Amino acid sequence: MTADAATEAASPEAVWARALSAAEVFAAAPFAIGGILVRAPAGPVVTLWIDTLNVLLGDERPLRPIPAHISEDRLLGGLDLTATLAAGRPVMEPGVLAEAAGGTVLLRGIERFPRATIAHITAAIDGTDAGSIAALAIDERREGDEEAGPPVALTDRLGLVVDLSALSIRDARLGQDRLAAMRRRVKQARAAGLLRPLAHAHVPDIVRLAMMLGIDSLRAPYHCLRAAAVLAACDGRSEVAEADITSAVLMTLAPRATQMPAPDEPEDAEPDDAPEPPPDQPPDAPQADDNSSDGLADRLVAAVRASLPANLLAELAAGLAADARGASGPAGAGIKSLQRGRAFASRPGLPRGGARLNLIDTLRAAAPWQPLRRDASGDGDSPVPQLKLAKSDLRIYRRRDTSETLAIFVVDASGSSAAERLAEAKGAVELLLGQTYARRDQVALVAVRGTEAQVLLPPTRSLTRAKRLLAGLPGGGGTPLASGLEAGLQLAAMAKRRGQSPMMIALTDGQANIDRTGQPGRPAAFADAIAAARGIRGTRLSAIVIDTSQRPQPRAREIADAMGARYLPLPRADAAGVAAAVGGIAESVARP
Amino acid sequence: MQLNFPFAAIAGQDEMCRALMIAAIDPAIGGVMVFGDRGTGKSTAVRGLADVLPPMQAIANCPYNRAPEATAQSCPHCARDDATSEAVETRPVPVVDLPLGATEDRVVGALDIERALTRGEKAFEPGLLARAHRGFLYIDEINLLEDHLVDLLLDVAASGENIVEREGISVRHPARFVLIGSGNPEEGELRPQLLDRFGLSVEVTTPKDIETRVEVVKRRAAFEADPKGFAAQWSAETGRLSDQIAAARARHADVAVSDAALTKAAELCMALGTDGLRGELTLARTAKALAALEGASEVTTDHLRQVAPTALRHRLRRDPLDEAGSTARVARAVEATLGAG
Repeated sequence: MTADAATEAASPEAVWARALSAAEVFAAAPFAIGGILVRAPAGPVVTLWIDTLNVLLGDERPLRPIPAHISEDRLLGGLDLTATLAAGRPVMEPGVLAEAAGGTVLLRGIERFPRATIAHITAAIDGTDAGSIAALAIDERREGDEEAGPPVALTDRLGLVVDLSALSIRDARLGQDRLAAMRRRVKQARAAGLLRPLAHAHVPDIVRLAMMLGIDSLRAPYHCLRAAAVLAACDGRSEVAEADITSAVLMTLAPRATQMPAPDEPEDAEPDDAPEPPPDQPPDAPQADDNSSDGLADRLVAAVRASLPANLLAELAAGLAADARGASGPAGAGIKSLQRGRAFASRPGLPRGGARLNLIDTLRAAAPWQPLRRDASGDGDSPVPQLKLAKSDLRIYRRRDTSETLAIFVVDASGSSAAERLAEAKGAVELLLGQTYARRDQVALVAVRGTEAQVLLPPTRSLTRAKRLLAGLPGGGGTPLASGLEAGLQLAAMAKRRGQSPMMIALTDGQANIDRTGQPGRPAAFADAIAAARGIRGTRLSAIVIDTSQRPQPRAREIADAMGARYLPLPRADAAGVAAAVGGIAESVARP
Repeated sequence: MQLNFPFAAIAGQDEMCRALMIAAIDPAIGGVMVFGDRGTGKSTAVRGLADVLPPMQAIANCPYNRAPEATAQSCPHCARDDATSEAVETRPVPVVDLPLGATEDRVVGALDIERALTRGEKAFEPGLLARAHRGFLYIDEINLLEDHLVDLLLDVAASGENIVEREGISVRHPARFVLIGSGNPEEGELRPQLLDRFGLSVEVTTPKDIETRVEVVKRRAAFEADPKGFAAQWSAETGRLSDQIAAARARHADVAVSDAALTKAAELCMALGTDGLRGELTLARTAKALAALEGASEVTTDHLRQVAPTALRHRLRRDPLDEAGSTARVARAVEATLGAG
C-alpha cells in the first residue's frame, strides 16, 4: 500500500463515496443488516445523507423518527386514553415500535437515549411478534465530548458504521444522475432476493480479519458477509467478488477496529502481536496464506489501514482506542439514563408543583369504583358510560428522590511521594466502589502530574473497569494543580447536567508548580490554583481537601479555604481513612 | 412465531450450555448468571433452551402454570368458584424474557383494567412472574436493572411466592423460577445480594480459535438463510438433548453423593475461603446434577472438578489487590485440593 493510496482512501471524497455505498446496502436489505450507526454532529452533511437514504428506501418504507424522550407507553403501546374514556372500555393502541415493524426507525442523538428505551429498541431489532425493525442511529457527539456513547448492546446489532464527522458540506456532493443510479442499484438488489447463500469461501478470511482488528463480537464478521453479498447484488452479480468484500469490510469491520496489526512486513514475517491462532492447531486451519483466497486477509488489513484517519491509526497502534470506541465507552450511558430522575411508580396526589399526572394509574385507581359511582349519580343506564373521577383517584409520578453521587478524585501524582499517594488513592477509590454497590454511586479520577492534568477514570460504577485503568497509573513530574481542579470542575458540571450530585476530593500537598498554561514556576502556579479553587467555591461544589504532606502545609489549607472545602490533614492518608471521610460527605451530598 | 436458533447448534460455549442444562435438571441449584461479551450467543442460548426442555404438565388454561399435584387453593385462578375444570394439558416450559425497561406492573401483575372498567370487578392480571412459574426468567443486562425491580425479584426468588398488595388487590401466587441473568461487569457491577442468589455463574467470551469462530458465523448464516431447514437439520440433536435432560431428571434422585465427595467439596470451599455453607451445598448439588446428566450413578472427583468454577467463582471474597481473575483462583484451588485433572 503506497502512501498515495492511503491518503486517497481516507480522503473526504472516498469517505463520502463509502457513506453513499453504505446507504445503498442498507436500503437494499435493512433487516439483513440490522441497522446503521452514523457518527456525525447534526448539520447539513448528515441531513443530506439521511435524505438520500430516505429516497433510496422509497415511499413505501419511510424512516420513522423516534425522539430520545419518547415515553414508554408510546414506545410499547398501551391504553388509548381518549378512546378508552369515550368508549367506556379499554381501547389499546399499538406502540411506535409495533407501528414501525417492517420498517426503519431513525434515532437522532442516540447517545442521549435512555438505556431502557434502547433496550426495547434492541429487542425490536432482534424481532418480536410484531416483526422486526431496522434502525438508523445518529451518534451526534463531537470530537472531544466526554459524554458516553450509545451502549454496545445496540451498536453491535447495527451492521454498518458510517463516519461523516470529518466531512464538510463541500465534500458531500450528490447529483441527480448519481442518485438515479443508486436507486436502480438498490432496486436491482431487492429484486435479486437477498437470502442467497452467503459467500462461504470467504468466511475464514473475514473472521480472521475481525480477530486481527480486535473485534470480539461475532455479529460483526457476520454483518460483513451480509454486506458483501448485498453489494454484489447491487451490481447485478450473484458471485461475491473481492471488491465487494473490501467495500463491506470498510463499512462493517474497519470502524469497529480496536487494534491494528503491525504495518506491512515481508510476507513471511507475521506480526507477533496480532492474535494468531495457536501454533499447535491442525494444519488444515484456515490461514490467509495457504487458503484459496491467497492472502485476502492481509490485503484487507491494508485496505482497512488506508481507510482510517492517521490520528485514529496511531491510537489503535497504541491500544488506546479500545476505551474510546470499544466495549467500555458506553457504560456511563446506561448508568446515566437510569437515574435522571426516572419515574418508577406513582402515588396518590394532585398534579401540581411540577408533579406530573400518571393517567394510567389514575384510571386504574378509578376503575373499580365506576359501577358504584354510576349508581350513585343515577345515570347507570346511559349507553356510553362516563368515567367518574374523584380527587382521591389522582395519581402522580413518583421519582427517585435521592440522586446518585459522583465522587471526583483529584489526585496529586507528582514528585517523590507520588507512588505512595497514588496507591492510597487507588485503594480509596476501590473501597468506595466496593461500598457503593447498594447505593449505586460513581467515582471518577483526575491525575495531576506532568504539565497538564488528565482524566484517568471517567465517571464509572464498574469496579472491574476502575481496577483495569488504575492498575497502570504512573506518577511523577510536575504539579499542574490548577489544571487538575479545572478538570475536576468540568466533570462536576457534566455530572450536574446528568442529574447527579457531584463532590470533589482533592489529595494534594498544595505545592503547585505548573501554571495553567503548562509553564513551570511556583508563584504563578499557586496563584492559578487559588483562582481555580475560587471558581469551585462559586459553583458550591461540595469538596474536601486532603493534605497528604508529611507535615500539614499552609498552602493546602489556603487552597481548601479558597474552595470552601473541608480541610483534612491526613499525612498517612490510608485508604480506609480517605474512604471514611468521603463517605461522610457523600451522605450529606445525597441528602441535602 | 419466530424460530429460535437451535440450542444444540451453539458452538464454542460449552460451559454456558452445560450450566443451563444443569439448572434445568435441578432447579433448586438456583439460577445461572452469565458474564460476558456482546455477541457471544448468551441470548441465543437462553431462547433456544426452551426447545430442549421436556414439556411440563399443567392445569389447562391456568395462567399461573399450576402443576396438577399442587392444590387449587394455591392458585388465584383455580381457586375461583367458576374455575372448575381440573383438566391437565402439556405445555412447553416457559422461558420468559424480562426486558430492562419493564415496569413493576408488568413484572408482578396489576389490576385488570378491562374487567374493572367494563364489569367493575377488581381482578388481577398476572404478570411476568406468574408466567415464569416452574420455568426460567431471563434478564439480559441484569446489572442495569432498576434497583426497585432487583429488590422485588430478590424477595420473590427467596420466598418462591409473589405477594401483590396494591390498588386494592390482595393476591399471592407461587412463583418459583430459575433466574438467568446476563451482563457485562464493565458496564456496571452486580449487587452482591443479587449475585448471591445465583447458584451458578459462567463467563462467556468469544471463542479464541478461528475454526470455532468460523463455525459460529457459518451456522448463523445457514440459520438466517433457511431457519426451518436449519432447525430440521438439527432436530435429531435437539431431541437427543431433550431426552438426555429427561433421563437425567429421572435418574437425579438416585445419584449417590458419597461422604468422600462431600469432604472434597468442603475442602475446596475452605481453600477458597467462600462464605458460609452455600458454596459447598451448591457445589455438591451441581456435581450431582452433572453426574445425572452424564448417566453416572455416583458423584466423582471429576464431576466436582468440572463444575467447581461454575459453582464457586462468584462466591469468592473480593480482593482488590488480587489481579488474577476468580476463574484462575478457583482453578488453582481445584488443582491443590482435588489434584490435576
